[in-house]
Amino acid sequence: MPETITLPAVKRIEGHGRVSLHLDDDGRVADAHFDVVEFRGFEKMLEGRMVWEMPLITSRICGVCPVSHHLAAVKAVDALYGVEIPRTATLLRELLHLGGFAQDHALHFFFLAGPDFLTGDGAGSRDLLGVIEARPDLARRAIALRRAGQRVVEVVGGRVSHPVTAIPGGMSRGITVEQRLELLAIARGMLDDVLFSAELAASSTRRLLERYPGFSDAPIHNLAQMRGGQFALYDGRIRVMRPDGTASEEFDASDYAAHIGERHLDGSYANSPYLLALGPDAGGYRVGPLARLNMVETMTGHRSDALLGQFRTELGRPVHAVLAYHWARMIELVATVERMIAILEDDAIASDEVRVRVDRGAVGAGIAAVEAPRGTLIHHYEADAVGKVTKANLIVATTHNVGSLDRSVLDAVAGVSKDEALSEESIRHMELGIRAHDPCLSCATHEIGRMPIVVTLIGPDGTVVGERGVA
Amino acid sequence: MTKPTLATIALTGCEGCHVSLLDSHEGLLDLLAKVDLVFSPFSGGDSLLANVDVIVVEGAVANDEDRHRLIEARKAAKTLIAVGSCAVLGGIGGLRNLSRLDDVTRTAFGDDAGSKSKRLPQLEARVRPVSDVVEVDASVPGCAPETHLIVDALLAVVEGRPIEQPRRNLCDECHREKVLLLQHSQEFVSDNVFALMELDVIDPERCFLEQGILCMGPMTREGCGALCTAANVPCRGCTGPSRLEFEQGGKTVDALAAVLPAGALMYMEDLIGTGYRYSLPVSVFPTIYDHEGGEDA
Repeated sequence: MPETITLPAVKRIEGHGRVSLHLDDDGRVADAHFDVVEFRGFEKMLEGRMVWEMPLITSRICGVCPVSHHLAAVKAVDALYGVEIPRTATLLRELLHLGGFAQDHALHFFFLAGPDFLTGDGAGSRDLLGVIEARPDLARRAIALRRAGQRVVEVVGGRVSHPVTAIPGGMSRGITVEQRLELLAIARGMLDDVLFSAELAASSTRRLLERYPGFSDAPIHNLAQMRGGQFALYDGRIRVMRPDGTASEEFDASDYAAHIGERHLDGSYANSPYLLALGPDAGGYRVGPLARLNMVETMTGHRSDALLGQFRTELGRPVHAVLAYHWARMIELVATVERMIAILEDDAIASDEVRVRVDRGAVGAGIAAVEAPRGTLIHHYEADAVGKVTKANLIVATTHNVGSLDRSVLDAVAGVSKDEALSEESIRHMELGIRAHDPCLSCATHEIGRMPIVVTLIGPDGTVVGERGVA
Repeated sequence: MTKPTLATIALTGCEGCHVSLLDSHEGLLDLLAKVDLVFSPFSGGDSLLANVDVIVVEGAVANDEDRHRLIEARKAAKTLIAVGSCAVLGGIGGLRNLSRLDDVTRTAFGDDAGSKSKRLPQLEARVRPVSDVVEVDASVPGCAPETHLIVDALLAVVEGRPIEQPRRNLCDECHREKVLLLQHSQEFVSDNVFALMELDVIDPERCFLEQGILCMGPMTREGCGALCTAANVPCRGCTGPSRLEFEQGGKTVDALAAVLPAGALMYMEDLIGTGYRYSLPVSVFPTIYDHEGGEDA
């Protein structure tokens, strides 16, 4: 029987991520899980609601990436009713998505993960306040990028928080010529800041990789949706890449259930998705910026294509080191702005042909996916003839990454003794790997910010033998 | 003079209210010049301090850990502000009160629902607003409240001013024109009830009810600026009932049965899920526990 240790100072930290480490008979770490501790029960709450209300209801799953849920939901309802939406509506939805992406990526890089590596040791605190205090120049750029992205969301989506304009059949309204010009000026104005951010991310990533050589870089599958081999966030087909970089399955989001299984976890309110072909133990995979950049052939323009080339030249393909997420994320930010500009330069964006009428009546399933900032987001609804939802299933980006998160945590402490597992250094290492994934726990649970974690040690018989939190 | 201290915590919710506060952009720096942010999800110290001048609470009480943290926050705070419709009204997550908790978890986790670890926060049978658990000094409803509403409320509390609460309903700040609704008539204003997507043309200037669309404007308090109706989408009631109409969903039936064909309204729409979308936990609407008994009857 392992001895039970109660540590006196388990800090009850705001919205902590939780990690469970499982010990073997020799008292060494054999397995690790990143646990989701919040549960809201959306799948049940959605039953009985009108299916066309899904874009307005499910955006409330996440206040950080509401646009992604809004769009995944509306695309699923379009699919249910078999609607082809006008080209302008597709462009507007994509533009809305890009605005949300830009503010979200900037938030994570500068204010949430950035304090790990941007402020050096000079900052008073390792958080948003530390960035503002130690690097006001970076804070200014971050604020400018977030303001620009949110303005795009506000103009196209009707509101900053939980936008509303994407409706089955298209958009509730378009944008005016004046709005188009305003947004085009905003998007062009972002270029300098995003190119700077990509350069900063490159140098930060090089430093991190030098400081933590071999840190959590075990090969793993990658999964993302894209258009052919082209980087795309709004639509496309889902592809899977094997750990050696060769292509594996490719499928439409509507076939997800034939390719992705969901494993139940006793210690978490999230399920753990896995590739059915490989089974629950070996089928874990990675989504998000790193997966997307590993898999695409081309980005959205010459700037992001060049950055992708540089990324591959330095780190190879596929890149498995989780610390490279930060660089990948900022290359995506450049691509996001390039694509925004291209869309806004297209005269079709200001057309008022933004919707087709959609009638209720079809019975069946509507399934769709978008690439959310953190990875592939799948919404699946079934409805009756009146339009009431009879079944809903959502696989959110952070949930896809549960396997990768677990692996990253295990890499930091595999085989170490229980005392070493609870050391401050071990916990910092686990945290570094977790934060690189940008787990948006609002989707999977909650917590946008610093992620202090609580680590629980579990003996072979399932009893808790130790616990420690570090802020 | 030392600056007043501010802490923010997030219970069960989406963090959208915290993002709305971050959306003050440079305004956040102005706010931080006036208060000392000692604790929040995106900054601040290691743990909630014992004495804090103002604590902002986002999110609803959905599990035992929410309850514990909220009670600790109340003990620590001189002034506690509930921000967002989850904190003020129970919010959208309160729709789970329509079902038994074990049905909710079975839908999500299947037959494995019963084997969840006891180390996880234990879900409570009902989702509750903050005011069900502790005394609240001020409220800012909305999903999410517009940035300026949160910042103004914070500044008001810090500067010792009362928070102005809007009293009227959303129609008073909606730009849309009502014609039929203002006429004395025993006729309905529309011969059917439609989903927005079913209209041939969505008239951007005319009242949604007169187009046969269920709009929550008459049952919802103003203050948001009527952004959704301006964006050609009907109101969904996210700021909760206006101060004169405490029962948002009940009022929906009461107000609309006279203007829209009631049968179609009942059959073609989801009156409970729309009428009570953000305010079910503060309504008198009975839960399954009230009918069938159970731990939370």
